[in-house]
Amino acid sequence: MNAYSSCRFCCLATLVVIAMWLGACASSTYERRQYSTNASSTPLGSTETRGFLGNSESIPRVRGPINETWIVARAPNSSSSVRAGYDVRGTGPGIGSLVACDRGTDGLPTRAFPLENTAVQARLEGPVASVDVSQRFRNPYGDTIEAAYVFPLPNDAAVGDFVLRVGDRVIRGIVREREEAEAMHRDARAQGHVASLLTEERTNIFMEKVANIEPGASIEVTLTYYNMIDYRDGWYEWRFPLVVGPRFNPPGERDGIGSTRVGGSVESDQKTHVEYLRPGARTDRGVQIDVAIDAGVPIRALESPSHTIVAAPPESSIATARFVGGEELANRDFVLRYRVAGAEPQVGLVSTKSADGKGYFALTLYPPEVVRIEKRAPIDLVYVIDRSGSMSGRPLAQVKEVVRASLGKLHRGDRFQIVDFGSDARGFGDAMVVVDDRSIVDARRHVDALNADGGTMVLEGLRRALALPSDEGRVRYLVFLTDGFVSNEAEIIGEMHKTLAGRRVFAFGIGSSANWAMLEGMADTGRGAVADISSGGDAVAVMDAFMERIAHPIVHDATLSLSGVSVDQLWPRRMPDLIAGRPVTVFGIYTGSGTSQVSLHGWSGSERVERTWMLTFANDTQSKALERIWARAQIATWSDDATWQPERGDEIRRDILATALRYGIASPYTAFVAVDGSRVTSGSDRRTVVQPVPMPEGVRYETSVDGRR
Amino acid sequence: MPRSSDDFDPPNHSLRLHRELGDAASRGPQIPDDIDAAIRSAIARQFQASTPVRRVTAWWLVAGAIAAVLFAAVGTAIWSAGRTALVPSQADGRMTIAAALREVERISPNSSQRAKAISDPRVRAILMAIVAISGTSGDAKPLAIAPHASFVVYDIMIDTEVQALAAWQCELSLPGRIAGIEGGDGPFSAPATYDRAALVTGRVMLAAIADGAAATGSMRVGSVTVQFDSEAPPPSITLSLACGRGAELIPARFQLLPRTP
Repeated sequence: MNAYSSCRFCCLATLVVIAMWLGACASSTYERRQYSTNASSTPLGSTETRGFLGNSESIPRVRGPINETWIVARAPNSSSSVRAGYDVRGTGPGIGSLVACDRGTDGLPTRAFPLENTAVQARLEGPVASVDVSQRFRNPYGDTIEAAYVFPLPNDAAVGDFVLRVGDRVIRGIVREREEAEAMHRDARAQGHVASLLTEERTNIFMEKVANIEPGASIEVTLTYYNMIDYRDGWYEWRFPLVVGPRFNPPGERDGIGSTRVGGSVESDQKTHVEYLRPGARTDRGVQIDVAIDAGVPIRALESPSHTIVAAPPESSIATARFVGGEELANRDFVLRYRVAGAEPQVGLVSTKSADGKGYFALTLYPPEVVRIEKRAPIDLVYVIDRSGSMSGRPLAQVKEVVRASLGKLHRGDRFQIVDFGSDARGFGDAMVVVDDRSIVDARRHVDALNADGGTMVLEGLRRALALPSDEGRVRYLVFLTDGFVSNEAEIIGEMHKTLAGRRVFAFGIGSSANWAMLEGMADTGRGAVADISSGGDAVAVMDAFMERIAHPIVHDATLSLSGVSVDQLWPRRMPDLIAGRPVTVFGIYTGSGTSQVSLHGWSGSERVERTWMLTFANDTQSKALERIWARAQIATWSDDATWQPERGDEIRRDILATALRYGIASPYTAFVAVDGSRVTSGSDRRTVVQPVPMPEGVRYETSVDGRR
Repeated sequence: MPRSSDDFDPPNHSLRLHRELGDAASRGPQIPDDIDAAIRSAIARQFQASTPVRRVTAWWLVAGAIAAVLFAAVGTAIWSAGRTALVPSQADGRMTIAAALREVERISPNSSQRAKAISDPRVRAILMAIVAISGTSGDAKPLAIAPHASFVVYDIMIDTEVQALAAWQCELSLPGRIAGIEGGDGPFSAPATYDRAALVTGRVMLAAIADGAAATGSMRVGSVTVQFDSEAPPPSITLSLACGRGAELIPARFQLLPRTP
């Protein structure tokens, strides 16, 4: 290349550079004109440290001296997929965005994040709960954002309605096939419309996204769910989970729930992503829970073992309770219990007819609370103890306490073994140990020496427990003590289906917000029951009572028959054993109406038992919730099938999808979407900001998030 | 791929950010250790993920050559074919010449002004630069509204004249996907319910009952947001039903009107 050519080329290149620079300016201008009516927001550009926030004066939470600086979002890059979390599309530091935070009046650090308030309104009517959960998001930043929030619901919650409130306008969401709903939300987000999406990540974990919240704007999203109220040990118990515990994802898992620290350097590679606040830190979110009870019979007592409530004295069958607090109290399940007057119930029926004439019912059998104590045959008991990192501290201490006490309740002639699992599984021995003074002392010493650390390889623990040599003629009980903070619930339940054989499984939920979806799944599969030994009360007493009961099922190998109405599609398909204080609910469809004879047949020890009741099935619409609860139970059964029949995966997926769409409920394959197409919001950035959550009470932050998970 | 000149050298950019954070820290607030670690880690990842740009001058020369080719090709197109030849837009929503021309059109609605603007070499240079940038900008986020997925709001209007409307029901024929149901005015402020079972078969059936006193005359009883895939016939009401306070059928005129922003 001669000098003339080089010079000409350089001139051309210089011109093009100038043109590109002009173009970049024009491009930036174009973006603002395209999406902003007031052009007041600052697009992400060369103003790196204030790009996202725009004018720092718009940060609403700064009072007094600034003492912390946080990156709350990062610049987007090429990927169009958005995970929950910060705008995690950008893996590099990109263009930093800072938010300044202050300390609240109580000295704890607070953060400006989008979720401003959670309001729960529950109506408990008879055995059915109808609950509205409203999340109000407010954009505290200087540019338009999308807020993402991962939150828990009860694992049997049938989410049947979803409403978006923008100012005084109310927009009802539509349930659609998940991929379609996600695409609609994505399109609406890209086009600048306010839009919200609700997806089910696990049976008890949901994710809400609200796109295009303008600076300073508030948007409220309300979902409505229905479920059955639990009845345990003579008390009705309504539980509302407030936080998702940090899940362990086994190696290779990509469809799990990732857990990282807020603003941390380690990003989750899981599909869903939860970020946790450090101990002592909190956002300024408020929480209100209002419960209205119409029990149908006089209420004798009302209490919350988990939170301080304001409750009006029960007036006959009506009662109300209220909890108001900040996020520091949203780190555990809210539990409300009430006891009603009258004799112990034996059976309860709720039935309704839908508009198309199809009847739905929920039949609950209440075994007596008191067990007839009599000499029992020797049993084999295997304690399967979770010693993973999330059990560090109080949870493991509680487990040690209850296992030590439980060992003392074993009879001569019983046999036991202790399996503990973290990243691997170990044991007190390789065979069942006969109960004697020496073995109990040694076992207690073994339990005392356990330390919490590592992952949560439940499957390893299960396999080791199942590998223990068995003895014909003895019933073997597996007693799991765990918080259940794993993402591979389906894999675990599937393994149980394949390998449990006649073994019974009882699951004790440890901690203030255990993964009840997995615990109940384990107990259902193993024809056992669950117990909560952490929501206040005496854990050892709960364990003692349970030890008395597990060896004395009231009725086992039970069957149910109905005459007078024709019933179909009963869930669960197989009647579980009836254990003292643990009711069993059967859902089904019926045709016909009127009085029907309901009979329960089974065995109590070696004695055949039969109970018969005359019940009336409704001929009109009594409850709109019931058909959705039934549909949810049906989906739960199919989901359970899918855990151990992978070859039926496509068929099961089709069935679940059809049922969820037909009944308009959330499921793994459906989602709610609501779009406000009436206007295009201002702003140009539109990144996603995830709402961080506090660590569940009693769970150690250091051993539960980041890196290991 | 980089989007602007600031991003051409990610490591330097990151280091600058880091330095600025450090400066901020030295002025008072301390950067938490985890944030500091996050930045360092991200910088390291960026180094790994990005092709090191060591020879910036050479890059500019290559970019200049590419832009020059684009300049010549598209400029020729402008001169020879005019605006209509440039309309096809990219489905991925990136900035296109068509979008740029629309912007020019918006700024200069008068055709003669527009022609003058387009003929202005500076505008042309900007357009070419936009094309060059958008064509090489892998991380450009969608900007233009994709015509295949636009959302339109339709108001459902009912006129019962002097009769009081207590409840209504209708079926909509929608050549798109319903994405939201908004409440209407007055006693119909709560969003209408929809028949979930019918929606499975593609039918959109809505119904609502007045909350409080029944209303008379013409009113907006609700709205629906619909996402259209492509050019499609406008939606219509195929079945409609209005009831008075005694649950009796009353005559009513239903209309579906597109809402203008």
